[in-house]
Amino acid sequence: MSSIPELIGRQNGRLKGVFAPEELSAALAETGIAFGEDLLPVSGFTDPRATLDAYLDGLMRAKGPLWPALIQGEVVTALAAAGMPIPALYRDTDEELSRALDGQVALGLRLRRENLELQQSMIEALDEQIKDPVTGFYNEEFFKEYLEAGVPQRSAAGKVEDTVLFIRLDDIQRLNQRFGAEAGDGALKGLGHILLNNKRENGVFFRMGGPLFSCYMSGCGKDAAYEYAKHLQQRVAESNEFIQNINISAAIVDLAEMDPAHLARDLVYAGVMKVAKERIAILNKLGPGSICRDSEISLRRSSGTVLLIEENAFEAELMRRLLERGGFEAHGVANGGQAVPAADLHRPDVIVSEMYVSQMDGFQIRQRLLESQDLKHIPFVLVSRGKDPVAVDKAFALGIRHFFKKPVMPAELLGTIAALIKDAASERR
Amino acid sequence: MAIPILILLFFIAANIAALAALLYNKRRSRTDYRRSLAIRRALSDAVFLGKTVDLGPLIKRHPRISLRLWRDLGGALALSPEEAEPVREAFFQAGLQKRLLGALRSPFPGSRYTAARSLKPLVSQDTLPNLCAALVGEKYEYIKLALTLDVLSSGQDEAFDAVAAALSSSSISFFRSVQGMLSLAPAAFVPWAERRSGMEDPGTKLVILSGARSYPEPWLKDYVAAHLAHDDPRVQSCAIATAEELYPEILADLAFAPDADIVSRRASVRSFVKISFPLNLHSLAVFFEDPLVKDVAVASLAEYISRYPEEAERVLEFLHCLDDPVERSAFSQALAGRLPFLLISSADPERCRPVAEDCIELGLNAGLIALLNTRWDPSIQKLLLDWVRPFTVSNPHFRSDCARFLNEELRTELEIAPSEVPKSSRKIPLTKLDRAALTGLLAAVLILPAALISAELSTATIGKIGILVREYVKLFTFGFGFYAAALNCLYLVLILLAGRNLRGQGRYWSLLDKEYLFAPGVLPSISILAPAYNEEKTVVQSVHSLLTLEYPDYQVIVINDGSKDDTIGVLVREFDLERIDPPLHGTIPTAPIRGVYRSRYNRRLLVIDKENGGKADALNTGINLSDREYICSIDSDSLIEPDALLRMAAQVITTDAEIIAVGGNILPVNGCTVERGMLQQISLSGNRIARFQTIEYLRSFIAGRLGWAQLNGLLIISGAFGLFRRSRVMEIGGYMTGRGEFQRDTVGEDMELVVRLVRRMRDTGRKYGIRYAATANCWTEVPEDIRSLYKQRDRWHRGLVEIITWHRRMIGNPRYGIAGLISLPYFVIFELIGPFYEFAGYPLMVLGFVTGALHPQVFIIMFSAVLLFGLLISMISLVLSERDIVYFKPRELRILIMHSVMENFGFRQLMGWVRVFAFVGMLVKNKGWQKLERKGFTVRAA
Repeated sequence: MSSIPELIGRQNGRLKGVFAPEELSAALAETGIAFGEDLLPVSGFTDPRATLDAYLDGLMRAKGPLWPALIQGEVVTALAAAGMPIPALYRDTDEELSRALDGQVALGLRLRRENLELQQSMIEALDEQIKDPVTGFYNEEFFKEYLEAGVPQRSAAGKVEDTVLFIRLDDIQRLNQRFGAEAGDGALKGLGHILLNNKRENGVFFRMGGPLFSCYMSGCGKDAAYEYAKHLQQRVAESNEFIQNINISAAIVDLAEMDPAHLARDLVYAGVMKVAKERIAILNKLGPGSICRDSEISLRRSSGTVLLIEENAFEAELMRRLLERGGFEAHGVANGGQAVPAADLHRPDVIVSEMYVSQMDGFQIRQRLLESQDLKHIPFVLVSRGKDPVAVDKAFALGIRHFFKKPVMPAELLGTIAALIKDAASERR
Repeated sequence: MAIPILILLFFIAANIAALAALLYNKRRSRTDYRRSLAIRRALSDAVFLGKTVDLGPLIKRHPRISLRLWRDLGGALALSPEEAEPVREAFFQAGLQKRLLGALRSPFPGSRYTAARSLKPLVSQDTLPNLCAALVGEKYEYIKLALTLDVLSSGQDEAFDAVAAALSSSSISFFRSVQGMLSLAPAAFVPWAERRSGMEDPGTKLVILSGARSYPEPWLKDYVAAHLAHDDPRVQSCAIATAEELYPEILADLAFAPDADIVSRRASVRSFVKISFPLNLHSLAVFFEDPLVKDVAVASLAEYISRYPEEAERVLEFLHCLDDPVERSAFSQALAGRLPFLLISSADPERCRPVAEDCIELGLNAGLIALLNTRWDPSIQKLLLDWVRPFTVSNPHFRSDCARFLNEELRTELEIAPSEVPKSSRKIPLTKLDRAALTGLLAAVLILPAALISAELSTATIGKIGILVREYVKLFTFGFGFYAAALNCLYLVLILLAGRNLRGQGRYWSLLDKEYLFAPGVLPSISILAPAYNEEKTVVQSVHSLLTLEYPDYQVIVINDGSKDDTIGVLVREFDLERIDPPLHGTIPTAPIRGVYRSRYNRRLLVIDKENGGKADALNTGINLSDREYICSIDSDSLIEPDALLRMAAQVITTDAEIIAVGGNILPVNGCTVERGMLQQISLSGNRIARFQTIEYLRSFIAGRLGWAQLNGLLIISGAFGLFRRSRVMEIGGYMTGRGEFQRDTVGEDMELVVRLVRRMRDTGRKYGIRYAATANCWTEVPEDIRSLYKQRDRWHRGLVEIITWHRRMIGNPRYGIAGLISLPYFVIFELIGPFYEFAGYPLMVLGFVTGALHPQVFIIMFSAVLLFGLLISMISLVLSERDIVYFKPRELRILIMHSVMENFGFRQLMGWVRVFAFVGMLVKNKGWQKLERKGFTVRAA
């Protein structure tokens, strides 16, 4: 078993992934122990046990009960393995903590009572489980537990004034497309780094699935979160850590705007995510670098997603409005080069394309899509002025069954799309 | 001292003003963009939400843009009358239609055309009578065409009546266009036609017969049948065309009517073969005896065989039963294309012998020689050789073709000596006499000023050689200053003309919406001719990109000019080519064709495989095959922007003059990103020499060609992208090659063609137009090192010298109009002789200043006149070229401006010297064609 300074050092290492450097050093200063560059304690109390107690106390005072609880499992296991007594903090607050944070802590406490060796490996596994391998942030699983553990308790104590900020890296699809999959991971790591460096004291970061991060901001309203999101956007824009300029967009979910009934333990996560998803979907429409703080532009129930490939800006706008009026969610691209990545990103139910687009024409796009296992089944509708026997021949050769000549009759186009989506749905069933 | 400083300041100020204009342009295009954004939003609000509050004021403030955008909206969405009504109402309230209807009566054709095109979205019960009246009274056919489409969109009876009246007195090309438009006639056509079926005027008949193509009705069939022998040839040909397309059976009956006239007989023979299966060969044989329909019968039979390949065997059998040699040779001719298939398809190749023999008799040597050259099964090879052996003695024409094109191995076997004529027959371009004349001209030009000066000074300064030289330098530099000022003044005039031309083009282009351009019958049909030589690596991508061009009616003809690599193989594999035996429409002599293919993957694509003969020869082969109105010559390695063909053809349809050639805008592709044969991003090359050329191209296309085009004196259309009227090119025998009637090659075949076209048009006293489409962009690679640049320019200049020498009769001849009086003399003075002055002028100017022979005041004037004036021209060209389309980012624009300053110190002088050396070199010896080394496009890593 390692010595207590090493144990403390390791815990600091874990916390490093959650706290900003200044914040961590401020918290550590509270403990009254001096730390070196590598966050290993260099001097402290004469008795290592007292050092550990002071360390845990300091964390408790600075950051509340969550953080001591977070590392409790490992500390307790390590001490038990070395035959040392449990620190005072854990002894005294066992009950309180378990009430407050029953998810995480109860697990740790339960573990303590079981086989030590098994506990050791399980804790490591737990750590793996709750940490995201790319950024070292805590993952969505832990985010869920965090919400479920913290929110109902606060809600019981009175009005919750916390906000969850979702931050999305906008261009990951393009990055991966252009520079390979590592570029996307690299950008996520870089973004994680910027987030940590700009972390506020009341905030905790989590890495959600895909290019999404979340930040739980306690005691903070929507406006403050909005300001903070703006600030982060600016930092990202100024940074030169990325292989090319990237954008982040943000969706804000204020817990205060949620129905208190939904803040119960088993509902809060689902509730937050429902609102979040809605707002993230709005981000897609608003474009890169946008912030969505409420769903006023609420999403109508969409009867399907359509990818629109049209170069002429006016016609693209008309088509988009037409599709939206028909109840479809429309994503547009203006040239052939973007078409396939966009299809990959949005996974539309139907693709509507002009034949004449630059970089790749409608037929070439179709050919590319046919080469992809996932995308080849998406129905493809051509709309073009250049419809003539030769073009129709080619369209049929590529399995395109719907080819409209511009000017297109709105009802005809909308009806065809609706029928295509319905067919696909009945096929799935 | 004041005057020179003033001049200097004036030029500096002018340059700064040009710079300001450049910046203002950017700003203006931003405001324009914002304005159109607001109108777009208001329009779509009106259509989708029925909200027209914002629209009214916008229409009042910007009526033109609003109407244009409303027209574009109508081109994208077919709105129901209820949806369109509020917007239409808003336009009517603004009183726009009143103003436009007034403009329809304007004395200026430009205003009438604008009104005719603008009124399209405002056609209604109220405006229709005025439009119909305008259509009937209009003189110019391009305006009539716009009005025809306007009135037809209403689908009212009076519209058809007006079109009929307009057709009564019009040219054949207008009739063709209307015929195309009527193929989309609204449903109201049928009841109207029924009511008018008794009318006797030819216009009404023409409209009914054309519209009948899209509405098969029993009574219309009878109507067509009744007009097959009409007295009016236009009505008759229209009836025949409709019958051939829709009711071939009624024509087929006519095939055996002895008293039918020639037009209907030819059509009826075609129809007869078209509807018969199995074909009665005995009946067909009758047609072979009539020389008037023989060719049609042969072509129809060949088509029949390629439609039903299984019938080839039966035709061959039938051929063996014939005694009449004329009939036999006709059948052989139709079977010639199937010969390889017949040879291997059965165990008895001997039965094909008569076909092969007839081919030689008929002079169809090329196919047979290509067949011999193919690696066959040795037994068939031997058989073929045995068949042709007697002819190598009896038929001198066949023998000489064998000598030129047969494999060496086979040739020796047939004991034929190789021909002395080299394959690529570049003959001596200039005769000794030509060269002597040129030398004389040069000597006179160079010695004359020196002699004059010497004569003037001789009395005063005999013996004082120092003073003489000094005075000589001084006077020469003065002369040079005047020369440079004159050249730049000419440029300035051309630029003013170019600005006018550009404004006109921009206005017309905004009037032509895509819906109009894509309406049948509006745009001329085009064949794109893309010669390819040893391009197996790039040809697939180039062809793919040519097949994505935005144009309603075009075909792509790739001509494999006897490539040594597998160019034809990659084409066959990629585009799924099948061999066809198409009729050739032209008779320009070319190197033999090995085969013609059509793509099953895209019917727009044809490929010709032929023996090597050079670019001009390849183009001529393509011209022979093409049956379209215009041909478009391109370099197969240059990139054409998708809408470039539309923009070129827009030049043709906005005037009544016969446009015989349209030039495209060539820009350097170096530095741009190209993927999959398509331009992804425009950017400036990092290479200095390429940047200088970018400036040079912009300047020469804006200041040079656009200005000349405005004067109708344009003589240079680049072979990399040019549109030519096929019938006129055929008339003058195509591009100049060693094989044609001229028996000589030139390195400047593209310019030579234009000069000869102009010469022919003027000689025969016909009106013509040569245009330049400033926004039809073609991106081509330019040399990036001095050596290749030198070679390229050397070639260009030699081409110019050759052309001017051959066509020297035109110079200064008023009979050849602007081309003879201004364009050609300009070439002689500023392009042939000028470089010699520049060659000496720049060094002497500096020398004069350094040694003090030239007074500083004079130096400043000269500096302004030569350098600052030149810079001004570059700047204005930049301003004009960036007017409508933004090519370059602000940073790149700054670099370009910097380079247009820098090019005055070295690059321009260098380009002048190349010309001097090229000219002198030509007088000394003749060189062959040197291929420009190409680098290939920058391919972005995926």
